[in-house]
Amino acid sequence: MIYLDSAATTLQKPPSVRRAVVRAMERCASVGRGGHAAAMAASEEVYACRALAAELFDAKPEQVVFTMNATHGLNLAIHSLVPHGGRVLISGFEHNAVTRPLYARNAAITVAGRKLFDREDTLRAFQAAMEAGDYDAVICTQVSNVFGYVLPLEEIAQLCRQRQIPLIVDASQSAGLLPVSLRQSGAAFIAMPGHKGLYGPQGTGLLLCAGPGKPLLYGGTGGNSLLREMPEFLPDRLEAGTHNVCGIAGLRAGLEFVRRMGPETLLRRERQLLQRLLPALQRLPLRCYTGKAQTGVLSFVPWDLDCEQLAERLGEQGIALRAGLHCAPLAHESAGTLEHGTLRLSLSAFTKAEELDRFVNISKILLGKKGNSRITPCY
Amino acid sequence: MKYVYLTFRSVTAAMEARRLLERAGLSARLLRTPEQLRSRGCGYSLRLRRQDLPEGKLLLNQYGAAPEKYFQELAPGSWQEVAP
Repeated sequence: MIYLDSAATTLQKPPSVRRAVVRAMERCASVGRGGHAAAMAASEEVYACRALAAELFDAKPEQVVFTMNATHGLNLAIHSLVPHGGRVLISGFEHNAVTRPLYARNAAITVAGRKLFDREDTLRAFQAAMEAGDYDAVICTQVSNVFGYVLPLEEIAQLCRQRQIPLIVDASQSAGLLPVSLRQSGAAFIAMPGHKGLYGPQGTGLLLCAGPGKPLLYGGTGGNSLLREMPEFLPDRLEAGTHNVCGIAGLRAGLEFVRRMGPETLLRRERQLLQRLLPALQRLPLRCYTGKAQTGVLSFVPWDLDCEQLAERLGEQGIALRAGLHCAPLAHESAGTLEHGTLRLSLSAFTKAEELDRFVNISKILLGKKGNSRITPCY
Repeated sequence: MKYVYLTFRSVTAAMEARRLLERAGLSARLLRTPEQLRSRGCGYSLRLRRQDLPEGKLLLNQYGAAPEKYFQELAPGSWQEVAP
């Protein structure tokens, strides 16, 4: 299979990830549940992952909370900061993992920055919105999951610090590729999945927390058992119940891979592959959405074929891409692609140039005719 | 007895303190907190050699990783709280 859907999940993992999962399954019990060797092995494994994540994302180990995925982390962050009916400022490229929890709280949502690949416009829109209103929180993705657009997060974070508005960052598409720093950004929370650019197993995620937050789950933490309430301190406050120890062991191996390779190197390679691909796509009858500030995620729309149909036909040829709205209708609305969605191609550290060549050759056959696609920024 | 026990609010806090101590060359053993030293139920402690306590205390305070309490082991199964 030629796998080009890494923005959903990186399917190919470093071999060390699988070995770590198996090793943990063989020797680890539960974190903080007892003093015997298997419980201590679990505690050691999970702490090692926590400490490594803290080092990579410029936080303290206690500020790293394990979650099921980024959605879980974002729900925790929103639950902690946004009251029912609260006011929130978000970007025009947010995922349903942000918008649905806000709709569920009947939040008053202001959307800022809807021009794709226009960082200056995005920043101006955030600045104008912050000058015009008060907000309980600002929520911003670092990279659009649909278009790979890198938003001006550092500048938005600076605006939030100046106005003392808590910032929640969705680092789902950026963790492992772009700098993510809890300390420097001054963010209240940064959520990320373990199973995308960090190369961990599905069912893992991290929430970096500046402060204790408000629990969504209540239960055992392995310590302070006489308390009726959840402990006030991190990470226990937000980690009720048994951890996904095997998943976290795999995530640790994934984090080690990212550290060894270097996020800058991984991003540079993805961008090089994309730059190599674009001229070939230009000769096909489709429209590509691309711009300067882009990661290895590319959306495109065939001129004469339904996106889902093309994805299906590519799938039959062993090429995995995702079509549709990618759980981000707001982003599609911003880009003007809400009606039909897009086909999304997304790369990873394991994508090979020959695989992209094969994807182009097969697409050429499936699309049936030569074209002259529009490549440069669509706005 | 030659050991002191440092009790922590969580296993994560205890492990973080142990990492700091070990980085400075001080050996500390992670243990379940003895029943007599618990105040809010189960927990984790570090056992440190008494001679390493002054340096360890300084280090943990410096990194904001101080334990909740310090106990000196008087005899097997007998402890006395010492001033932080």
